[in-house]
Amino acid sequence: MTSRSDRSERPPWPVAAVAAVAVLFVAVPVVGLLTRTPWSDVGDLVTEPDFLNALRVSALTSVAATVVVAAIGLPLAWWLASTRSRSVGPIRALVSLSMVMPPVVAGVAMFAAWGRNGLIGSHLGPRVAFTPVGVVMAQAFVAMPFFVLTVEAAMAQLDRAPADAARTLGASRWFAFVHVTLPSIRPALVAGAVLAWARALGEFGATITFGGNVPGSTRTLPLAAYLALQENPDRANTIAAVLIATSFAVLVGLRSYWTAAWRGAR
Amino acid sequence: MSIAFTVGVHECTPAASARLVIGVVGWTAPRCASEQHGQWATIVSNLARMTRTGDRFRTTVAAVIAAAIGLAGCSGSESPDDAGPIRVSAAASLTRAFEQIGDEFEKTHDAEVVFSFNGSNVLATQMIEGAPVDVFASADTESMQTVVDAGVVLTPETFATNRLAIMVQPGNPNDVETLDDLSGLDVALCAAEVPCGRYAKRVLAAADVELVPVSLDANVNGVATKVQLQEVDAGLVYSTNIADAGQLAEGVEIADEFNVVAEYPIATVGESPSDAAVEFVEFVMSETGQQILAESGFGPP
Repeated sequence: MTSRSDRSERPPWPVAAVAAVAVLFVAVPVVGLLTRTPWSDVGDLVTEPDFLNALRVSALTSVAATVVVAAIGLPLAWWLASTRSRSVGPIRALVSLSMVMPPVVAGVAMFAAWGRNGLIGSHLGPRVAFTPVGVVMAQAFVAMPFFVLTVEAAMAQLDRAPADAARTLGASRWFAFVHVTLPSIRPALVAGAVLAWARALGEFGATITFGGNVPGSTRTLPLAAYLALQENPDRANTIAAVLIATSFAVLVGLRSYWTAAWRGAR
Repeated sequence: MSIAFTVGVHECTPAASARLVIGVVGWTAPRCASEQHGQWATIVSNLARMTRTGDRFRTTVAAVIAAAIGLAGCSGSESPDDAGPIRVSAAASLTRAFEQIGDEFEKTHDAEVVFSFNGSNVLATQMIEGAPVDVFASADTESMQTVVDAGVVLTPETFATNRLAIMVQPGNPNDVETLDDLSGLDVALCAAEVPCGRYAKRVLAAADVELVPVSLDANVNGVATKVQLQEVDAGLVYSTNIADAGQLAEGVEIADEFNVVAEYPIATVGESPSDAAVEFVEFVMSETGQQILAESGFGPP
């Protein structure tokens, strides 16, 4: 099996040049934002209770949403990758729907399901909308496809031989899945979880519609940044800069840790 | 052999679009070398062959792309405008009234009006960042002041006023009569950073009502939507939103002593506004414009 360092096939320089353009396309807005940030105010901002509240809500809800997505998305990805049923196509399309929905529409859809008069919500006791639980659900709804599709793709490409060998040696399907299949797709699991977490963290439309945007309980960082933009663009810049810096650190730190561990083990 | 075809993309008729679709699809087909057939006969025979040999995927993709191009090309205005349309940025609460004013204006003036409706501060930020706008109508004087301070707008004038009201579900199931009645209910407000939120705060403070809202929206239409979806019991909106909602909601008036009067300023943008833009502002201030505004629930300037 070729490892990543075996790169005799480097892309030709025009490809690298276009790739550089792609990097610039993404990097320049971020760099622009960071240069506009009044860095001297960052110290004041990070001690403000409004900001800390929004940070806390964002951190807790995005992680909770990722856990929900992974918990119910992994079985779904396994099913999608291994079933021969003809409903796979429609179901995969259904799972992807929240990616194409405008987020505010996704919020309205959450009302239709979980709201006071929603299909399920009307039978529930406590209210789900306008609570942190509602924020988690809205974030999970939009983040689900990112995890499911990533993991399903990895599972579909997987070499079945090791899992089959484990089965012939007497392992149950569950044991083979947990101890053979899952470790071999760990990079995809991490990538999918990170994508889902990033999507959940950045979610705006569904959370402001279904979550309620109340500071301290349902106002996340993106909502705080958007509202700060109404009154004080500098403050919005600062919030965005902190959000970018934190996300960047997590995204870089987490991936290299896990993928390095995987490569080292093999 | 290459298939050369002319497709009238510059004319926006169904026939031209159909030719575009067929031309692109036929052109992408694997070609059969047949010299004796004419151009369109070759395309048709290629198409027939493709559906038989199962090149349906390529056909579908090409057809979708071509249709998208054809539709995109045709989605612009049919009648070319010499001066270009008048671009009006207006507060969200002006949506219905201004669309009517725009229709009336287009009937009596030879110009097209294009609207962008959003929270006044969002529009103000966009304009300061250089968005091309000809007329700005704001829901509050603060947003207008920020664009005046930035030098984008010179002389605003007040063209209408608005007041806050309580929006409840049809039939007023929670018997809301005054602001005090809102205390135990699920209430949606605008966020304090946007104009309707500032007004709501002032009104509640004037009436000495302590309220913990369940939802804070970025613009007043969001509040109205939540009441109409029946996800909240009540919301503080403008009286114009009550008029807009029609059958879907009911309004409860707020006593004058607590209520605020929101002043709506309008202004042309830039140092040398176009004649059409100036005419539009004059039309808004005219009797016709004022009548439309009054019918939507606005007060006089």
